[in-house]
Amino acid sequence: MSILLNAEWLKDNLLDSNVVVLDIRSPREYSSAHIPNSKLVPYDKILDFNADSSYFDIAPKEKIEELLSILGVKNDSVLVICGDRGGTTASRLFWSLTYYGLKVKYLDLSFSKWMSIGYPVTDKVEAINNTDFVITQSKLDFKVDHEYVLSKLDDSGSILLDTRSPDEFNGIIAAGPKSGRIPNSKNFPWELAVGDDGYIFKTIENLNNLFEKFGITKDKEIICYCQVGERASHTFVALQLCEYNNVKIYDRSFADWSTRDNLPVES
Amino acid sequence: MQQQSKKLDLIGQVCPWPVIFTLKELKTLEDGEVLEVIVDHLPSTINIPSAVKKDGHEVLSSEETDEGVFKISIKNNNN
Repeated sequence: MSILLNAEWLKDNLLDSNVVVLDIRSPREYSSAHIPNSKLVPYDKILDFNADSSYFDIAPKEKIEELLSILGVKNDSVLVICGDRGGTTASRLFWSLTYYGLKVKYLDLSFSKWMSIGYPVTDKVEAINNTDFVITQSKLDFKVDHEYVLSKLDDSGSILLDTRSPDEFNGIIAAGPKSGRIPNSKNFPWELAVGDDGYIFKTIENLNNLFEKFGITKDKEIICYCQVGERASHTFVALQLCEYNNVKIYDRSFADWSTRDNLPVES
Repeated sequence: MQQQSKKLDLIGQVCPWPVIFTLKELKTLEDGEVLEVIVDHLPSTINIPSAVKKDGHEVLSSEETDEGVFKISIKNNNN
């Protein structure tokens, strides 16, 4: 069953109280217009970070439970993620929830596109009945750390996928104190997987062709990373859409790797 | 005395550019000068403050000034 949810289906099922749309845009964007009955997810609530960190961690289970309780999510709710602007933040929300074993759908269109084709929007914020949401599922094992990545550097069964721009990959520019890449990485700029005309992803056929062109094959373990885990999130979901079954995400990414003195960097 | 401020419009820029352009711009400022960075990429509201604090600069404020548009004010400290 596809991760993506057809926008037309959602439009026809907006009155279904089991469907909970999670909107990961900014507070003002949400206040101005949103899908009826959708709930705003404050971006910082899905992260765990402090001012001294170079990287973001996923929010702990308790923080996610608290967030979903405040948003009125029940155990039988159908969760649908709605994003915009290429879908990196929405993709991060997607894997953050699936990491904790939750079943989540991803709206195939951006909010901007939803609105531009005349699907219903509102500026009304409905009162929410809080729930006591408890995550009962086991965590999935797709999130990896620097030690795991280090162990895979020379593993021919794994592909380290750097989803940053070619200039970052080649060490020409840097969004942190150190330039370069994790050794033996392959560059796949994340934007390549973004769909046309307001679609969050390219079609499955186009994605498969694209991944094939880059030598990203289904018999390998694919480990996605970028600078802080945003762009890698989009590629991570795109690979799942194409039924790559062994995909990992190094969510602390190069921001973490490059600040550890004992880890190799190449450019 | 009122601090001089300079504006850096990064509307439409996504990772990694908001952080890169902000750090680059701060290098051109005098000590104590304030840079107002305008972004509409949500992660940048966390990335930029984190990156500039690590470089020793001071984040004076961060606020959403329009729908999805944020202003981050940074006091330059080029030691």
